[in-house]
Amino acid sequence: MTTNTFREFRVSVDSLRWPCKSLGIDFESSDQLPAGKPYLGQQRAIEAMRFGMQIDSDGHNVFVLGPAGGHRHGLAEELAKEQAAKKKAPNDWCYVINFANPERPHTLPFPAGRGEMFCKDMGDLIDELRLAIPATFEGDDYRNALKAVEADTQKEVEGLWKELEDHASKKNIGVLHTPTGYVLAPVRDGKVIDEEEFSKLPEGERTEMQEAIRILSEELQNHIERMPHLQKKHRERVKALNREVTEHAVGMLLSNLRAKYRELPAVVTYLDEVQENIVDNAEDFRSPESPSLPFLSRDTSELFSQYEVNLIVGNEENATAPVIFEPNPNYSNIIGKVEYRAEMGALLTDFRMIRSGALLAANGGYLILDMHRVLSRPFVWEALKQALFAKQVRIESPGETYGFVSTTTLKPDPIPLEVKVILVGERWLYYLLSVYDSEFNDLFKVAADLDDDLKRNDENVDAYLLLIADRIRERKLLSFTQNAMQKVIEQRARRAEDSERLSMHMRSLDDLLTQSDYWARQSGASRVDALDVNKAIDEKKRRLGRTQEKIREAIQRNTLLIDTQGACVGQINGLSVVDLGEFRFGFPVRITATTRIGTGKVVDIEREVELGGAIHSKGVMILSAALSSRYASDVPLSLHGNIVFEQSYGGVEGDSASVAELCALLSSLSGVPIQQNLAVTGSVNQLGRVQVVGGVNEKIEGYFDICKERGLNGSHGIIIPCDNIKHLMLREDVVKAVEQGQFSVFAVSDVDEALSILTGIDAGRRDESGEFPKDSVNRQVEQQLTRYAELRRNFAKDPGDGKYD
Amino acid sequence: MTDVKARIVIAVTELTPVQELWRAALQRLHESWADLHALFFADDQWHRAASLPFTREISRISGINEDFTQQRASQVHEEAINRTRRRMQDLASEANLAIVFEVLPESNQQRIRELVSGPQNTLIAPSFITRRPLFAELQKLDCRIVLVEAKEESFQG
Repeated sequence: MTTNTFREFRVSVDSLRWPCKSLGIDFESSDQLPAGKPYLGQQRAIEAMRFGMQIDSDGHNVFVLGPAGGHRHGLAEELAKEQAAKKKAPNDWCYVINFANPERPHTLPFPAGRGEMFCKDMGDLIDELRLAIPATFEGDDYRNALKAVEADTQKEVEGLWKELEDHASKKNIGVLHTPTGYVLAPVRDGKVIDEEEFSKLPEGERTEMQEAIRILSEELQNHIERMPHLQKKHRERVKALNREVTEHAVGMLLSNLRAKYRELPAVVTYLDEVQENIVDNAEDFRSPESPSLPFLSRDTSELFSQYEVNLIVGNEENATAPVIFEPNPNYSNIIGKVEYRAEMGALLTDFRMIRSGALLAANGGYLILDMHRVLSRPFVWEALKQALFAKQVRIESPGETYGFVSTTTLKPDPIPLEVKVILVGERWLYYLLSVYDSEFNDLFKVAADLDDDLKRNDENVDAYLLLIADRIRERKLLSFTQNAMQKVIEQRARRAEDSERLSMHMRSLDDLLTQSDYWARQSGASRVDALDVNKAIDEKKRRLGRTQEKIREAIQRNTLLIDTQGACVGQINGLSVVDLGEFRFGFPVRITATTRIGTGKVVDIEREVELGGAIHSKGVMILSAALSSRYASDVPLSLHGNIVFEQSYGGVEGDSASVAELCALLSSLSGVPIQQNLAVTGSVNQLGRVQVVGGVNEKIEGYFDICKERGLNGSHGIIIPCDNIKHLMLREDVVKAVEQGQFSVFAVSDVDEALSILTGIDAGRRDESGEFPKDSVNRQVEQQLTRYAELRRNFAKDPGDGKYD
Repeated sequence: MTDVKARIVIAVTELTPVQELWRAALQRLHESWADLHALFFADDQWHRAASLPFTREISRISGINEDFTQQRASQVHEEAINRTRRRMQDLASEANLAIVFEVLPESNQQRIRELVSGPQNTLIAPSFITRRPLFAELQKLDCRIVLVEAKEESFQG
C-alpha cells in the first residue's frame, strides 16, 4: 500500500495533533502572566454552589459532583469562604452542669467570643471560691458564731442531763454510763449499793427507790429520744450558719458576674443556680479533715470543678462564619462524643468531657465533607441526616443512638443546628443516592456538577494559561517558558481525550507542573522548558509502563501472535486499551472469525465463556443484524459464525472491536484476505455505520509502537472512525512518522470503507438493480450467504445424517 | 547502802480522765527519775448494780431497756479496765516510757501500802478521790500525794 492508496480516507497530518501554537497573550515565561480568572470553566457548578450556599431554606444543602482530583474540595472551600465572609460569627456554646440532673447537662449560648470569656470568668470565680470559702470557715467570726451555736446546744443538753441527775441524786439514784447506754442504780455515800445492802433498807425506802428508778428510767428514755432532735436542731443551726456565711462570701463574687452577663438571662439563671448550689452544700467546701483511710480522702477541688464551663463551640468576637472541612468524618468527628476517664476500675464522665464534632464547629457556617468517606464510616451518614432533619445536634455515642448500650451515660441538651453541608463526591454516588436513599433529595436539593473539561478556543486557552501560571505561583515552582506552557496545554487536551477540549482535572495538572519543575531543577535549569514537560510525561509513562512493556515484549517474541505484514482470511488486528487508573495504553489483539452454514447465529466465544462484558456482547449481536440488513435480505440468514479474541485470557469490554469483528466475518464469508499490516478500531451499528470509540490515541500509539519496533515500511496503518478525528492528540513521533509516509491513519464512516482499505479490494455498493459489483467483497459475501441459504433449504428437504446441526 | 528507787503511782479509776494525770506524772518525772506505775482502783459498782433484781440498762441509741445482768456487769467492768490500760500504755509509748498497770480493789490495803508507801514515792490521783473512803487511808501513808483537778467522766451526759 502506498501513500496514495485510499487517499480520501487518510487523516491529514494536521488533524493528528492540534498543537498549541498561537497564543492570545504575549509572554516569555509564566511569571509574566497576570492572575487568572478563578473557577475557570465551572460557571454552572459555581452558580449552583452559590445558589445552595445563599438560599435560606431547609434541605438546600449542596452536593458537588465531579471526579476525584478535579479541585472539588478546593473550589467548594473557596466559595464557602466567600459566602462565610459575608456572615457574622455564630454563637458560642457551652455545656454547664445541670444541678437537678447531672446526667443531662445544660447548654448556654453566648454571642461570639463571650463563651470563652465566661469560661475564664468562671475559672477565676472558682479560684476565688477555693480560697474564700475555706477562709470564711476558718475565720474568727465564723468560729465564734459556731462556738456560740455549739455552746447553746451543749447548754441545752447539759441542762437536760443535769435536771435528770439532780432529780436522780435527790432520790439517791446514780446514773452509770456503760459503753452502750445507762444504768440507774441506788447510791449511798457516793457508792452503788448491792443487793445485800439494799435488802437491809426499810421496805418503804426500797419501794420508793424502785419506783424512783422506774420513773427515772422513763425520764431517761425521754431524754434519749430527745437527743436526736437536739442533734438535728444543732445541725440545722450549724447549716443555717454555714449558709449565711457562704452566701455572704459567694454573693459578692457572683453579683459581679451577674452584672457582667445581665443581658443573657440564661446565664444569669445559671449563676443563680451556682450560688444556690454552693450555699446548699457550703459544708462540703470546708477544708477537709484527714480521713482514717487514704482512699476515703475527699478531693475538694472536684467540688469546685463542677462549676467549670465546657466551651464546646468558641468563636472569635469579630470573626466571620466558620468553614470547616473534616478530612476524617467518623461519627465522633462529625457529631461529637462523650469521653470517659477510668477511676478505680470504673469509667466516669461528666459534662466537662463532652466534645463537639464538625457539625457544631461549622454551626452557623459551612461544613465540607467527602461523601465517599462519609459513607465508608459507620453510622455517619444516618447521624448526619438525622441532625439535618432535626436541625439540632445531640451528642451521644452511636451505641446510645441505636440502643445498643444500656448503661447510664450523659444525655446532654441538644444544640440547635443551622449549617450548610457541602458534600463532595463522584457522580455515581450522587445518582445512586438520588435513586436509593429516599431522604437524600430532601436534604441535598442542590447539585453542583463540575465540568470535566473546557472547550479549547482561543479565549479559553488564554484563560487556561493564566490558571496554569496561578498554580505555578501557588506551588512556588520554577517559572515555565512559553513553550513549556504550550506543551502543558497540549497535554491537557490529550488528558481530555479530545483535541478540541482541555481537561479540568486539576490534580493531574498539578502533578504535571510539579514533576516538570522537578526535572528542570534536576537539569540545573532556572526555568521549566518544553523538554522538561515532555520528560515529566515520558517518565510518568515509564514508571507506570511495566505492564505495557511486558505485553509489547510478548508480541515481539511472538508469544502473543500479531501479524503486521501479509494477508489472511478471517483474521484481523483489533485494538485494545488497558486502563491502569493514572495510565492507559493500547496494544493490538488478534481477532479471528470462522463461518459455516447455520441458523443465522454469530457466536461470540468471549461471551459464551463469560469473558465478554455486556457492551461487548451487544456489539457482537449487532453484527448479526448488520449482516441481515446488508446482505441477501430475501433469503434466511443461514450462517453460523464464531468470533474470538485470540490469546485473550481476561475480560473484554466495550464495542470498539465490532468493526474489526464484522470485517473478519465478511473476510471469512467472502474468502478475501485482510491485510495484516493494518489494525482497526470502531464500533458499528446494524446499518454498517462506523461510530466513535474511546482511547483512540492510545490505540494508535500502541499499534504504532509495535510496527515501529518491527520496522515501519509505509504499509502500516490504522483505521479509526472518522468521528474520532477530533479526539486525536497523538504523540509527536507518530505524527512525524505519518508525515514521512511511514505510517497511516485512515478514518472511515462505514464498514464498506474499512473493508475496502483492509482488503485492498473495493467492498462494493449496490447498483440500481440492487446488485453489488462483480468481484467486490460484498458481492462475494452475498453469494456465500445465498449459497448457505440454498444449502440449508436443500438440507431441510433432505436432512441426511444431521451433519449440519 | 542500798539505793531505794522512787516510784510514781498514778491512781486511776474507770471514771478518771487519764490525760491530766499523765501530764502531772510527766512533770514529776522531769524533776526526778522514778518508776511509773498505774494503779487502777477497781470499783465493783457494776456488779453491785447487777446484783439488784430491778436494775436495767437503757440503750443510748434506741432507748430500749433490758436486764443488767452479772455477765453484762463483768463485760462492762472488763471493758473499762481495758480501755484505761490501753490509754495509759499508749501515753507511755508515745513518751518512750515503761509503765506497769495493776488492777486492785480498794479493799486491798496491803498491796496499796507496798506500792505507795515511802517518802521517795509520789501518788498522783484525781481530785474527786478525796470524796472516797480510800483517800483517808492513803493520807496515812508517808508518800507525797499530788491531786489533779478532774471531773468524773461517767456521770456526765
